[in-house]
Amino acid sequence: MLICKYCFRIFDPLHVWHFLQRPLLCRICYQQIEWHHRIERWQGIQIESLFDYGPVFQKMIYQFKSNLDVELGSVFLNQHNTYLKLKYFQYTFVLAPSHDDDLIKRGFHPLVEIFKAVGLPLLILFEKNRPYRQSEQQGRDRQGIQQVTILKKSISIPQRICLVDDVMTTGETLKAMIGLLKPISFKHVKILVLARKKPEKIEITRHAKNDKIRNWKQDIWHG
Amino acid sequence: MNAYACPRCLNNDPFKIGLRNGLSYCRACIQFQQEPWQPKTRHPIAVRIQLGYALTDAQQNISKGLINCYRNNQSAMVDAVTGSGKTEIVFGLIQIALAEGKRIGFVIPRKDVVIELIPRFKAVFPTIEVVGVFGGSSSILEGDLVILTTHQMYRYEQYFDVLIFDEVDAFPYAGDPVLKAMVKRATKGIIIYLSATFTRDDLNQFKNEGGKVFQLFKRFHGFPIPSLHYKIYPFFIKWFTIIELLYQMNKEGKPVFVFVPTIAIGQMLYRWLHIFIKDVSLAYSTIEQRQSIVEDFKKKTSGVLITTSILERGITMLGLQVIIFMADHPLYSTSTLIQMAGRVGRKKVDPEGKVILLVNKVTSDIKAAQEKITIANAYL
Repeated sequence: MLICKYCFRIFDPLHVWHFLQRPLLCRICYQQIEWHHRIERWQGIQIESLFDYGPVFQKMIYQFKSNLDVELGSVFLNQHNTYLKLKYFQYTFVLAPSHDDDLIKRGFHPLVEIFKAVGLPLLILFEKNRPYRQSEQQGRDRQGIQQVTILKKSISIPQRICLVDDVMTTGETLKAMIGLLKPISFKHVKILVLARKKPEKIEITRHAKNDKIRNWKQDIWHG
Repeated sequence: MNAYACPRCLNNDPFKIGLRNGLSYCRACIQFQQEPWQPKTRHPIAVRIQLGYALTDAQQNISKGLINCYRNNQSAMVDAVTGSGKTEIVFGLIQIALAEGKRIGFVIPRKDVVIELIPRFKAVFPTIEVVGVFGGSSSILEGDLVILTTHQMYRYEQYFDVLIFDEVDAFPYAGDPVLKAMVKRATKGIIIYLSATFTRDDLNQFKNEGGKVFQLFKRFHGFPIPSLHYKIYPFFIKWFTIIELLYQMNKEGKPVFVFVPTIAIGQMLYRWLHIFIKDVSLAYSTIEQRQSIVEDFKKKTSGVLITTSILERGITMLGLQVIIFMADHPLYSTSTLIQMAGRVGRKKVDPEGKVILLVNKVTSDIKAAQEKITIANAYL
């Protein structure tokens, strides 16, 4: 018998895998946070994301970061720890920047709480020179993060690094981090984010679909 | 032994207690956090009730009884059948409390019912500021009369002098200790509980706690509550029977609510009925435009609306008929069935209607609901 860390519902392990890796979320919550594994290339770098930034994920991350529910930190990567540990073996996780005031206010580093369970080295390489919340900015204002983010001095950078962040919407934070790392030479860089904005659905109406098929048929017929 | 108990919601369940920087914190009520705010001082207001009709004698007696309870600082419980005019009963109490400069709240567990009630209260009390506080509308917290959902109660601390609590036994309030604690925390005066489906235990327990209980078994127009007609159709047969039933009801030119136990069944039924019937719509909790769907349906004089239990309470429509699809589903309790049946025949112009239950078998909940309706009708 297990208790869901988010909805406190009692549930039983359903999968053989659950006996090896104890689940922290019930199946309903896990489905609702919309697991969507994506590996793409972005700005010339491989980017991997695990969830879609949907309403339930949004609520969960808000509860974790703004309502200071530190216990939720372990639930996001609970089922992915082993996979990430194998995939990013020899890599160091470089955390997205936070301002010291925010960290003192919270009493914990949200990214450390999320990624510490993977068991790979974590490095705080960037910091913000003033309190600045990306989630409170709109549109072009989000580019302001580039002026706020700075590289910490006198820290040696490992050869294989993976930039990690919790949420990627426009990608401005990651762009700022990449921009600061450009002058430095290192072997490999990858990006890992927990959640990314959902890809926009292109809805094809039945008529449009039929037209498309008709066009294809005509193309084939007429060579 | 875990010594920690939350000062806000009194939770002491070790599974709902977290540890942050070496200190315990409550995870049960962590979503309910409000920055402290200073309430404004209230002044007495003389208000006029604009009601187009007179209350029945039974309604007036209970209304006077509630005012006496208010004077004696005693909480009360009104157990009145669906369509008996519970909301109208409390108008007198609101008028008197406003005249004494008290803070009044009208709380309901369902957001849809809050949205439905705001214009109704504005029409009855046109000179006062009626404020609605619910998910998606919580920027203004104070007014002469605050109508809110139970989920918004955490925004208030020791605030309400008079709290009128409608549909106490409805989801999600029923069985949620955090919401119960939030309601108690927000109230400094009396609470008036209203429902059509209190159990005998609820009434006895409330009496023992020193509260006053009022009962009303008569609808305001004097006609009986429609009884439940169940039709036993096993397996897939009811999927065909419902089409025939809806054709018959459509011929009569009356709107029909089809209640379904889950969203998934609702979606399947919608796709199925859409093949045979033109005017079908679907409303459930997670659909974004549900408010507009319900409002559009209310403007109609016929048509079919498939819905989950979100519309089981607080909805009044002329000539409405009800079909409860898979009424033997374990999600349907006695009170749910009574509330659904109570949507029918609420208007004086058309006090009769049909409540049809399509079932595989007759459950104890269906029998209990039928018995309760028969008992209430026997008082006529």
